[in-house]
Amino acid sequence: MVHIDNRFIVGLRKNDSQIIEEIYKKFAGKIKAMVLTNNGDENDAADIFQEALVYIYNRSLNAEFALTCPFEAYLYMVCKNRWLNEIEKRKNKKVTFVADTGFMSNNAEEDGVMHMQLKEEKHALIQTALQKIGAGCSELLQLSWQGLGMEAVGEQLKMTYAYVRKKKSECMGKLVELVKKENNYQKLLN
Amino acid sequence: MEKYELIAAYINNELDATAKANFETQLQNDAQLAEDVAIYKAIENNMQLQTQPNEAALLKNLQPLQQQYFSNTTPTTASLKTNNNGKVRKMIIVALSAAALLALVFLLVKPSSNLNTKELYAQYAIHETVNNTIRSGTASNATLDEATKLYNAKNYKAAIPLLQQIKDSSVQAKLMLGIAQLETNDYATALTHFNEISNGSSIFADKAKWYTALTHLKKDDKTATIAALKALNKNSEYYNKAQELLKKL
Repeated sequence: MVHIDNRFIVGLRKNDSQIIEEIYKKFAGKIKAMVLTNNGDENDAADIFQEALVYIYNRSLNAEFALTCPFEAYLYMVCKNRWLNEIEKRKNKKVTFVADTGFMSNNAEEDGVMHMQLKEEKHALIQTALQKIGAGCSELLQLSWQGLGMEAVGEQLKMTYAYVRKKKSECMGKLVELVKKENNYQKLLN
Repeated sequence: MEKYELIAAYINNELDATAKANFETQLQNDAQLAEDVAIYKAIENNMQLQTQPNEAALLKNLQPLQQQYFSNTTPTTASLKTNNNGKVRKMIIVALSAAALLALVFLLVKPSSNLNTKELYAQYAIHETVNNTIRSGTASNATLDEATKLYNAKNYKAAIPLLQQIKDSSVQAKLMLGIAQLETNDYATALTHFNEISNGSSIFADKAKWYTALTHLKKDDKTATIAALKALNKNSEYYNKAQELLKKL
């Protein structure tokens, strides 16, 4: 079920400055605290917050995407994942992540949070596979998902309509095979 | 028709009735094929966007709020340090950016042996401030201006999507993009961009070679760093720096 906080998602999708300001006002402090208590500094917090909003904006453009939990819980989930990745990248010693439990969902919202979590895992799975595909396929697929229509994609890539369609199915084939190499890829089928 | 062409045609509902019926029978008898179709569908559903993203417009809205809600987000500039004799070394700054000057002071004060690659990178990776000298009147000019502002403020993450839009029309933008990617640890893409520029004939080719070396340095790949440094010949603007860095490696 779509959560009432989906308005934040819609606001981001529309690049609505009032909603965006509200997001900063309500949630920037929480995310900052999360990063600061977990080996990050203010710059890191700022980067993570901005990246997360850009990420959620891109997710919001997907027709299937709707929020099923409080925005705060979702934003926290996205920021936490990003920050954990960043810590990993910096090869810091294992950091015990101190999570904020002050706001996380109540029982009634638990299912909604789980649903968003699964959604994120599915998306991450595809993204991981996509990073392993060649640059040519990656560009073609990303373009093909932007709602331009395959004629326009062909034009941009200087390929004929027939060829770009054939190429897309080939690239999708590669991507499916790459996805199947990921652990837990069956999650996608849920 | 190849397997995935057939799957695509099936999902896009482009098969005629007979072909569709045949394919569906196949699906029922071949679990592997059925799984591939399901994954194909799941990917499409998950990735398909309703409209083309416009990250640049979003970032424009985020920028002022970033500054308002996160203080100290631009790097602080330290003041001049004193040298070993305790006197401030006076220098004439002509074209050096503040960052380059600081790094130079750092070089003079700090003994340079036994530095690890991370410290060496910090010492040598001095990104000059970009002054936009590109002619006005081009369509991408506003984007370049905006990107340059962000780049000079070291807000690389915000500069990247803008630079990506204009990298094919401006070698300088491509170089800035590479450096921004280097700074945000996206090494593979940064290297691709530096390579493309190195292999070209623009005035930035030399610089791109130097940055290739710096990228390997930041990646902590000494062998590749050394190889890249050796590729800089005596005519290079970076030849002396390269030799110096080679000694330390």
